[in-house]
Amino acid sequence: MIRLGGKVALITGGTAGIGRAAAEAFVREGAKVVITGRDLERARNIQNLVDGGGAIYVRQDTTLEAEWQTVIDATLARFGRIDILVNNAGRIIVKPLDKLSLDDMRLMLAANLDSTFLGMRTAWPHLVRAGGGSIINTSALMGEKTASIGLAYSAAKGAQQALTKAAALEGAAVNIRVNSILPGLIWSDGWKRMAGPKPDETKANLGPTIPMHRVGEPAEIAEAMVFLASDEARFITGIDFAVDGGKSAA
Amino acid sequence: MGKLTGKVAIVTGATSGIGKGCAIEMAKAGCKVVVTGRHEERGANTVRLVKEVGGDVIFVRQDVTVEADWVKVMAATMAAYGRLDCLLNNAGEAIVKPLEQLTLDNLQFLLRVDLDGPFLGMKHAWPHLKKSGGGTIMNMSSITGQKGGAKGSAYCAAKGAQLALSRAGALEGAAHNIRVNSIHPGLIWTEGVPDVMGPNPETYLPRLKASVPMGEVGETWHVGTAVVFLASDEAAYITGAEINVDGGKSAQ
Repeated sequence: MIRLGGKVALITGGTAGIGRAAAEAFVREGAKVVITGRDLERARNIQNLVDGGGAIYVRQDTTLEAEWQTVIDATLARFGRIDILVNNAGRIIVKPLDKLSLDDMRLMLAANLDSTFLGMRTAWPHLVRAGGGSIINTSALMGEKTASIGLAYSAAKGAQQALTKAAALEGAAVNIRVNSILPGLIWSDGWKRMAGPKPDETKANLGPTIPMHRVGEPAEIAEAMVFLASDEARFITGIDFAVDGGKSAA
Repeated sequence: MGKLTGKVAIVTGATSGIGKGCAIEMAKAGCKVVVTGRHEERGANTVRLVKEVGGDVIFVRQDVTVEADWVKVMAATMAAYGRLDCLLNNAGEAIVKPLEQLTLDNLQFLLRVDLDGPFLGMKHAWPHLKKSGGGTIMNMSSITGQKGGAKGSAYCAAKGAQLALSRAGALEGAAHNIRVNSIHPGLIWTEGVPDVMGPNPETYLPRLKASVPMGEVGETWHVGTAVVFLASDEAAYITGAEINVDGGKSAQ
């Protein structure tokens, strides 16, 4: 059974990690998908989806308003409508407070908050025209519970969650649902890069820090995104959906 | 092939309302369902509705506050289907009264149904879920279990306690691949609404709808589809979570 048939989705930061897994799952469920990302090299990761005819790639820096218009124009030109927006692109800086600069803080707000705001703002009239839609913003467990050296990131993700709830209330009148997903520790490409010379060992060592004793996989976030994007979540808006192996319950 | 094909679930309080809606959605997803409740006649009605969507279902009469009834439900489940993968602790009661009029009996009654019930269910399902190699438990809380509500002090307390139970269950279950999540419906249209609000919905429905950001009262299947997702392997990394199905109410 196809759950997103006839729908058009835009996924930012979709060339790697959680975003790529989401793009794969959305295509599997019958959606047409516009995948964006900053890095042309990484676009090769999703070439299979593009070749399959279910997706296109558009280069985008989500912090730039002008590029949002380009992406929306490309989406409408290729697929004629937009039903689902996944604001997945984000960045993280982990540093102690006395080493964090104001520039670091600004970067966190630009990459995690401005980008989400611009995406919602630019897509909004098109979602309204489609008769409603679903926006999914990738936040983080750290938007709710923080870690000692994640100050700027946590602040930005917390702000993003508040933005999401406000948009949910505003979207309710026009049938646009807006939800946050809060991934816990997910074995994304970002983590792999940070994992050092023995990534498998690092992954295994991280497992016991989580109640379920394992790190999550990007596909596990993607399935929650499919659910929120689909009509199965028809009455769900404004929620913080934790997908974290029990981390936030501890 | 449904999302829950091959799985067996127990749904308590499935003789009406949200429980009935969830049993139907789970059956549609291929799950075998044991529906329980106190009323035989209503139970037979749910069985009929589940069969209408092609479901495999039995009814077992149960009062969730009585431990012996849980033993009976587990035995009936094993006899009928031989395994258990999912428990939906849905049965619950609400009392809406100003604090001054609430009695200690009212509070203790709600704690029995809304807390003892899920506790006993988890306890008795646990060994069977372990034997299945893991499973899922979902406890039907309420948005009032997260936020307060006027005239709901006893109900809020019971549902809040139930939420804490779910979280603790999630942490303990993680070692056995048992996922435990809490579901928080907002305003959902059930047979119980006229019981509380009166027999003429047209007099209060506009006001109820206006109180929900999405401008509508939810349907039981809205909760049912969330239950199906959480019970499925697609939610394999989701435990200890609170899933609100409330049309935006708790974001306000």
